[in-house]
Amino acid sequence: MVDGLALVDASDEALMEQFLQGDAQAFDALFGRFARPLHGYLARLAGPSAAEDLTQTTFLSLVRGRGRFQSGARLKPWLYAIATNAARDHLRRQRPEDLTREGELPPVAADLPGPRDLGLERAVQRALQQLPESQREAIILHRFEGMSFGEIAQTLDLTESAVKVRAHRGYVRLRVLLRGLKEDRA
Amino acid sequence: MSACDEFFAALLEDSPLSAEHRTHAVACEHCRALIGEHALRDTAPPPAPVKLGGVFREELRAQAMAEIAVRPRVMRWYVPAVGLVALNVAVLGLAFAKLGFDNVSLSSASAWRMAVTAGVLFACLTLGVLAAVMPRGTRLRRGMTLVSALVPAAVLLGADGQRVCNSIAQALPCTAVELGLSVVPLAAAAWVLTRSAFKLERSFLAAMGGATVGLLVLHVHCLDGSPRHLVLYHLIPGAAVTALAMAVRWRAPSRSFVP
Repeated sequence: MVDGLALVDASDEALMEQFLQGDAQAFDALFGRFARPLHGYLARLAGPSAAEDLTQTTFLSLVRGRGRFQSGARLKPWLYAIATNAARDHLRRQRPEDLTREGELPPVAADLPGPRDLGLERAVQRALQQLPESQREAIILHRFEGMSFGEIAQTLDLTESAVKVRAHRGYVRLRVLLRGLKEDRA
Repeated sequence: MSACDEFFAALLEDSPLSAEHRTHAVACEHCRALIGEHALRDTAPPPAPVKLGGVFREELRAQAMAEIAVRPRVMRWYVPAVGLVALNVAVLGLAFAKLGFDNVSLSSASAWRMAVTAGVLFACLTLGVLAAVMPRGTRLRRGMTLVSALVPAAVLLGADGQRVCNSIAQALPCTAVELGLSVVPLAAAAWVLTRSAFKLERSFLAAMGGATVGLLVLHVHCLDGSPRHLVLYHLIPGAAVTALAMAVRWRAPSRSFVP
């Protein structure tokens, strides 16, 4: 067991090891560290209305599947992989009536602090939803979550080059979609 | 190249944005949208741990602690994996004990051809199942997926081509054996796989592992080595139960979404 101060300074992986040994405080620390970023990620990936449930599912999956965490592996890509899987499952099972007439997720403002341009956020959210799932995941993890291509490759169980191809195609498409927005606003 | 083009090119680099590009993004609505506003602050110190709603946190903590109370010991991934392999081998052993090895002694196919086919099938029901459950091992999984895809060819090449069954009634017991021997391994595999997120490749390997138990028993027991019999009464039923098991896993809710 480590004391509260040490928990704050401990690495993600050290916290996970503590949790594997039955330390409930380590779980609290992991929750405090990852809940909000995961919530934001899931809001972008699956829609804000589902984000809270999916965050809960992600942490419960961590508890139930903790035996599959490999000693020496990095925690962040593993946790984001759980969240990605939970979101994919949610989207796969989503009923048609949960979608808009255009078959998209209902547009809701993203959960971001500070001054916000809601029109822009909605447009970005809509543009992201128009990307294929594989490209959307790569872009959200790359620039919105600030993960490296190597980390994304671990998260999505792909090669780094495959992630780069997906991200590149996604950025190109996103740029086209957002260019339309810029012209509309001008 | 415009500032937007330069910014876009920088986006595709696997490194933080330069100060120049960040300044551009702050000023350009279009480029800012490509990265999200908070990404501009990625060089700032990480935020202090935050609580995502007190009630939410407490509820989640209570659920997590309840889960831990029910299963206080961490079950490592290899426990169910080895259990599945052991189950497949046990079903195989029981079937051999009951049905015998008629084809091994009476087949006119060469011993090495029979052995190669048996090896491929045995690898599917052991290594394939292991690869389906292990958290890592992408190479092993891809290798075993390839091996599993070769099963039909292996079954046909490992037979002597001799036709023995002259009616459907004579041939149907093979299908019954195939299906009967697959039930327990496939049900167990589907149950184990719900402990992690659905992955097509994993489901395929686990389902093939269960189906090849019956195929291997028939390979060493069934005297009919004609391609028609093998396809209709061994391979098609095997493919059907594999597809059925994959569909069951696809529909079944996952108990955990860990990779």
